[in-house]
Amino acid sequence: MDAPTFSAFIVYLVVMLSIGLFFYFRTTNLTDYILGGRRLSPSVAALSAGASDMSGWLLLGLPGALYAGGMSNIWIAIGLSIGAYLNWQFVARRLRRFTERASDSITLPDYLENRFQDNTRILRVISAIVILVFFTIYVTSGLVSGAILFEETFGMNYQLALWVGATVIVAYTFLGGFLAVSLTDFLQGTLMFLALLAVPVLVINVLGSWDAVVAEVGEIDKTHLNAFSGMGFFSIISLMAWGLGYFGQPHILARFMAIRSTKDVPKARLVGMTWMVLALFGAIFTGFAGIAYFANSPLDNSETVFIALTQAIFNPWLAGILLAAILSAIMSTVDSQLLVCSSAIAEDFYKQILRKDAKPGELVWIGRISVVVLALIATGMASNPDSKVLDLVAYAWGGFGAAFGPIVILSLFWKRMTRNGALVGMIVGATTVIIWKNLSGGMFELYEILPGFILCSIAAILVSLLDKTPSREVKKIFA
Amino acid sequence: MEEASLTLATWCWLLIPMPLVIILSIITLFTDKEDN
Repeated sequence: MDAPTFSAFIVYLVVMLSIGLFFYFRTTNLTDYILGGRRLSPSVAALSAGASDMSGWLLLGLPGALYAGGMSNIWIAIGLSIGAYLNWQFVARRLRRFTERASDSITLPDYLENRFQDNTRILRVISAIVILVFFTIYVTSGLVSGAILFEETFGMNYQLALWVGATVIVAYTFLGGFLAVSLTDFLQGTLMFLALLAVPVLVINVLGSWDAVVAEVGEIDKTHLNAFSGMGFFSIISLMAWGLGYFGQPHILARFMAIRSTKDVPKARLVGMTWMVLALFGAIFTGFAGIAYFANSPLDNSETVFIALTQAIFNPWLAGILLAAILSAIMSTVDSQLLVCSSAIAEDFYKQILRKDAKPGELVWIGRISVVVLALIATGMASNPDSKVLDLVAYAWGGFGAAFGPIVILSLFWKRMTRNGALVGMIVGATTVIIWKNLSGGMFELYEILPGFILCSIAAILVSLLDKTPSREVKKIFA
Repeated sequence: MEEASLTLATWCWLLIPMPLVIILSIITLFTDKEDN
């Protein structure tokens, strides 16, 4: 590793830790720690939602897929854009309003319990279990990505890289909670955005023109120029189904709950969607231009295309900052997920079941200890260097999308929905994803989120209709 | 070098749905304000 790259990298990490430390002294209660006291500005909420969502996938996975298979991979970006827009359009404002009306709920399990006035705690416990299971898988994939980045860039061995990355991430999640996470997500979102726009533009510039890039790619493989090459109807639907996942991601929905006011939602939506679409375009064209740039010396691992281009094109100082952008993408997702898990433990298990009279300061500490314990478990799971990052991400994304997505939508728009409908739907959605994932061939090649989402919706609607009509108090939230 | 270009269908799918959500966000920035 060269000194300028290393210096830029370290400066970036020190800034992130300083932000965490600063907010450590400002965090006084659990709502502050988890939701930043519901005072996120539209821009911070939007970029934070984007950065916490996209992870290393945006900088490593999507460019890698484009590099390996060309334009037939644009469907996933199209599906995600549409899903994210619909989520902002139909879910964000209602969820912000409903979570405040439903006894000022600050987590997804909290909201579901209050929305259905479930005194048995079963809805809260099942949803918290879903969160803990799928986020532990998600966090593991993030730590593996971080380890691979440190390993590839700085020549560390995998285990050391894993522990260095995990320590940095846990440190500022542990210290600052949601405000720190949201603010650092904001900075990371900005950095990722600039990096994704700069890399393809500079690569095209180096190669002479866009036409030269396309000609070179066509020379290598003409099918890379066609979005439909090798794609059947179900392949396209399967990739676009990633968009369904948005409605059920607890770490993204948490941003909606934390936004300052429902009036800020349209502005946040515009900022968020503009950021996302341009960033996706950047990722697509980075991968595509990479095919032409490395025409004479193809990369062994397609997912290193952004890293390889960064190191090839930029001076070492800038390369250090851009490589920090990749780490930042991974960090912003992992820290958000750790935080949601810690809130599930502190708010949904500890406060509701173990110590109902727990004081706010005590809950903050339970949340912090949970972050450390969960990170240790995830680090242990990530210690196998052969772990498949994208498989893990797809699994967790599908699990949340299918278990929570239909439940969140129906709970916001359908008065007749009942507690039992939500409970059965959630279990059916999560179970379908787990079973589907473990089967292969024929229709089981379809991404598991699609059958999970459909079956969860059907189960929730049928059980609700067969159930007793909700009480007037339950329906009052719609007033 | 043989002349090559992205297919028309690829350009359409690349340049219509994704920018469209930005345009819709701009429109709803004004229409949603009226609802408040």
